[in-house]
Amino acid sequence: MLGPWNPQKRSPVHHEMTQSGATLIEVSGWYVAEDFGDAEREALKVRSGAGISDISAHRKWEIKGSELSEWAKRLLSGNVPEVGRSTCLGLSSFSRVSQNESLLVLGMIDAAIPALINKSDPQSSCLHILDRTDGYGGFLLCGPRVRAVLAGLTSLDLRESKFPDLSCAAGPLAATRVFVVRRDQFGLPAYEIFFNREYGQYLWRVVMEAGREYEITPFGTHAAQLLDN
Amino acid sequence: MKLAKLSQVAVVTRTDPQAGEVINREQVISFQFEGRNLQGYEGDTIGSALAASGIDIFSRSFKYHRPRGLLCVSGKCPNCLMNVNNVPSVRVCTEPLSPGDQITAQHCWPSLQKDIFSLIEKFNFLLPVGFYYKTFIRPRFIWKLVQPLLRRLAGLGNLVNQEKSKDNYSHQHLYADVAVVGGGSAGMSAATAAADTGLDVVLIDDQPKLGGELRLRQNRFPDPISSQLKSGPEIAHEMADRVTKHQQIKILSPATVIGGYEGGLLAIKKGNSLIQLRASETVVATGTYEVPWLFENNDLPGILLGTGALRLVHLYGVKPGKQVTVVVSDDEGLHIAINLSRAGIQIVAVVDGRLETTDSPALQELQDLGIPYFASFVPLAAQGRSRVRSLRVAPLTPEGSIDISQAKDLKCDTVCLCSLRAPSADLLRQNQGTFTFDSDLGQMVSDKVPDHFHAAGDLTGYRELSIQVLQGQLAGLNAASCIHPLKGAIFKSFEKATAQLTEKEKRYRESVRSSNLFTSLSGGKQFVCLCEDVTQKDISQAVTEGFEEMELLKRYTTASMGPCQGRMCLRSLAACCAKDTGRGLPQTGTTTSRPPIQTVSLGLLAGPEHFPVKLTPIHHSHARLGVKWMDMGQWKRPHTYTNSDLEWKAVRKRVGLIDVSTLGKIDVRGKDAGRLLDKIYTHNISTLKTGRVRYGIICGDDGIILDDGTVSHINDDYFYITTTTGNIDFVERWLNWWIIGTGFCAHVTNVTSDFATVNLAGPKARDLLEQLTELDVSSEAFKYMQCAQANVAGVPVLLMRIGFVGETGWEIHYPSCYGEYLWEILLEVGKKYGLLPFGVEAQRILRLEKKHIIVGQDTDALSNPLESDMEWAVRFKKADFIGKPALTKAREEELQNRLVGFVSDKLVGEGSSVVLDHQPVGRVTSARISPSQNRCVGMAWVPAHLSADGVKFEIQSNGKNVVATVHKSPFYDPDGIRLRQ
Repeated sequence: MLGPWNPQKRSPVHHEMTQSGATLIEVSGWYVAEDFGDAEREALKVRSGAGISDISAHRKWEIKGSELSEWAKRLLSGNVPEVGRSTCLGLSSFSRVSQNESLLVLGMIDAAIPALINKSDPQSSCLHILDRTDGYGGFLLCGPRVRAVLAGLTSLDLRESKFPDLSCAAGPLAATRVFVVRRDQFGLPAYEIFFNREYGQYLWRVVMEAGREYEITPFGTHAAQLLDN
Repeated sequence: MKLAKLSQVAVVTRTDPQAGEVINREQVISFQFEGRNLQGYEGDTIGSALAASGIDIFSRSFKYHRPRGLLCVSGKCPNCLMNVNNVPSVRVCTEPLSPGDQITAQHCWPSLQKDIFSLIEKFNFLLPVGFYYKTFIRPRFIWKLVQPLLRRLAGLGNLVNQEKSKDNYSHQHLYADVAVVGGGSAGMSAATAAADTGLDVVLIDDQPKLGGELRLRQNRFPDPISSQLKSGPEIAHEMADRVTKHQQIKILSPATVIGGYEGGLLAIKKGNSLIQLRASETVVATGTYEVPWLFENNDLPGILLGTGALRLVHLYGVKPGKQVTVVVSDDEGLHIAINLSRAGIQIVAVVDGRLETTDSPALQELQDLGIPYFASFVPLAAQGRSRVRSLRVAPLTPEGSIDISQAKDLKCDTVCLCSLRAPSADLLRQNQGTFTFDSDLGQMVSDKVPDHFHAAGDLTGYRELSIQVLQGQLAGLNAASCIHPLKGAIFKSFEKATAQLTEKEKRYRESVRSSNLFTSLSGGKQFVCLCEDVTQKDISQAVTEGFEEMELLKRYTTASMGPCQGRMCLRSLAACCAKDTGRGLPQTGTTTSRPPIQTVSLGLLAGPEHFPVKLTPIHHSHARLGVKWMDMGQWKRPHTYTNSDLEWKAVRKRVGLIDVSTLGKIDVRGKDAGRLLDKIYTHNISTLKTGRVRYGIICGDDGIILDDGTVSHINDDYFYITTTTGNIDFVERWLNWWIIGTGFCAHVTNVTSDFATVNLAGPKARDLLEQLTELDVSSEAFKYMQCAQANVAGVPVLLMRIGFVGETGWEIHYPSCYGEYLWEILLEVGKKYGLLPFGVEAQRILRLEKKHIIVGQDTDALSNPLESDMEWAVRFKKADFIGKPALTKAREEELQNRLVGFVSDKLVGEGSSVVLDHQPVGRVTSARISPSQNRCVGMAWVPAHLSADGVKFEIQSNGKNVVATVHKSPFYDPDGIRLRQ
């Protein structure tokens, strides 16, 4: 047998990012965009308009079953969100899609949660925990004008009064079906969009096109750090 | 834009500067009209600039090519449709003028002034109402001769052949608590009232500036808030200012609501954007418009609606004419005449169609201005060719009839019609709102406002500013109260406004004096429908022929079916129908209102190009190889990399690799997963040992094949199934449906996106795989139809030893993030084994040689496994599965048709007919030239009596009959030895 091997993980928009001039770095085996040429400019544009960042590398678990509530109570120390709402666990979020379905999204460096998941014993109950990291691509859309960008692509009601921070919903985006989590960041409105991986390139291009009049910019981890400070 | 003075012609047609005008007289814009260089001002519409340049004729009518001029000046009528910058049928009266605009006339030849097709009117005896049912029928050949001519003559405007439209259309989604349609005094009042309660409000108005008709009224009104006397534009400006500055109000202007749909959905056209607005409550304050009076030659250029004249004067500073006669039917009309006169327009006469007139301040003011006033007179006919020269009027007798003997001609070049008003009611009517005629108010008013809708303003028949403002306020508060209870001061203001409104409406009703008359019904051509050139005589003729109901009358005469969608003619059509049938207006009814209210381009409805494209995780590796792509649903798949023969040869002789990531993949888990799959598949699944793979068929209750694929038993209660590419969503739904129905504890997850999948096949496949994994893949350790989890080149994979293409091979399922990585490793390491990637075309040949079916291609909505030669995949001994009763019954009966393999010397086309005695009796589902057989191999549905091995039958392909022979066993490796090696 040949070897050794060095498998590399690529996000569904890997090539879109490289074409956009991304500087790629490796984080947890994934290629992640550090910047797109000028992190400070990216941060400024996100702050004033709209930005898009690839978060496909974030780990994602789908948890479903009639005993979801009981399981979630243990994970979240009783603080189980209602349907259509999310709750934060450090850098991670737990979104209640429906009564018996949820999506757990982990920040890339959040290590505590997987241990909790591994500890759970789904065999004893009718509960299904499935790692969907590879199946779902993800974008973070962030900035004061990002809602206007999305208004051209989705019929979801994203008004502040109807879809405040930590809301979540499944719905259409440019003729595909996506899952949206409102998770404000850097003091700005922000939406995490999760989609079936095969639509990655299509959705990236559609969002960039819809966001052109709002001067949307792709941004990387460096700009995120600048925005966070 | 440049600073200059307008030409002399334009100057004389402009008024002195008007308060509230929207043009900037310092900025001149040049444009071209029919090859002539003309000029207008910044802020002009194309229509106002043309009118200011002395243009009278704006279009030619649809059927008779009669000259038509400006009429409504508000984008409702069909009279100003022109080609603007290669876009046909643009309403130039509302289209803003831009520098360099190229404007041409349409539907005329050689010019608007002299249109040779106007001779058609001389032959109008050939074109009676419903002529297409009556004329050009005998002799039969005549229609063939006439039809091409009619086709050329019909239609308005021509599409310029553009390879790619320059227009960029977009679709937007908006939500609001309250939508207010109409930006007049009532609409603005409603928006403010609703927004003051803290709700999100969207205000939609079809004019560039808010204010509605208030912007056109120069007479002074008490301000609804301060009670000070102010002009209409002043009040409109102040109200608009409040609305614009309100944080809770979003304004869409100019924007037109083109349809109201279920669930409070409004479709709004704003430029090249289609906005879908969903509001909990909708306030409709869309106002009214004048109904053109019916008299002879009522379509001549120079005849325009009163508000149209006001728009020209007060917004654009354009004189509608030099000598103007104003036809009125209420005091509102008198005010219009006064307004025009004060703007410097010479009013030669005011013709008041009311049978009884009483003194009023307006009448007094009219007389103070010295304007000749003809009380109880009606217009009979307009005279002129390309523009009005005079208007013949006649008095009404005390009984209300017209005394023609007393008729007189009034010399004028313009007639303003300030007659009966019709509500702009399409939005309410599209949502099942109904209207009835209110004789006191002289207008159709709504008698049933639909749920979640509220009406206010002119639409209700009350044409007084203070009432409209109160109505708007109440409508806004009513809408708000449907969303949340009104409290405190807001509730008190609601109660106070209600009391005030009741009192004011009562007083208005007592004082209003208007005439319902808007038709003189004299002789000559009186146009009811300007869009379709339908006259009053046509309507009478249609009624005589039995088309007495409005819906039938509309379809037979085509009245109200043109670009104005009935806004100019529906009221007249109903009145004519009522008169001719001897019924009242309520009994006559009206037609059904349907979206779109206004003509829209197909591009706007189609919107942006949102055609989702699915890419496999290996897509970019294929692209680097210069692959020829094919579309498979939304997927992009490699058709061929080099050519299918080479690729076929690599698989059969060495090793090939194909990306099959598009396969549907479903994760099925839970303690009842096996029971669930037993129910779904015709095979036994729960008996499948861990580490084994089984082919399975899914049938419906009727035994028809729905899908097929493999089931792998991974461990314990964990199964992994594959489906055909196009059926994944269906199979997922199907499984979930049965989970609910059976109550099984099983979970189904569509993991198609999670895994890249490749098929490594060929005699050298094992040698290659051994280079990449520690797993023992020898034929003894890893048998055909087994599966195993392993590491391949450092990637965790699921290996399934199956053989769709008929060679030793493995389907490798691995995390999609490694899609390109593993593919490229396989290509690189495979070089020394002669590996070639192969595409869908080679795969189709390879699988056909093995007679492996493709569900949906070789089967259809009538195919069951028995007829499809797949009874081996059905376990009748199993206790139950979906479709078992139907298949059991089918087994007891004689099969009608069979899916068979065949060989022929010539290639036949897929879809070709199997013929017997020159009659089609079956069809070819798949056919290719087989490199291994050197002849055409395929599958076809044939009658059962032709399905025995060796039977010859005929296929009609490309017009020729080809003899084919039934071949029961697979064409290649019939015993499956190579698969198991």
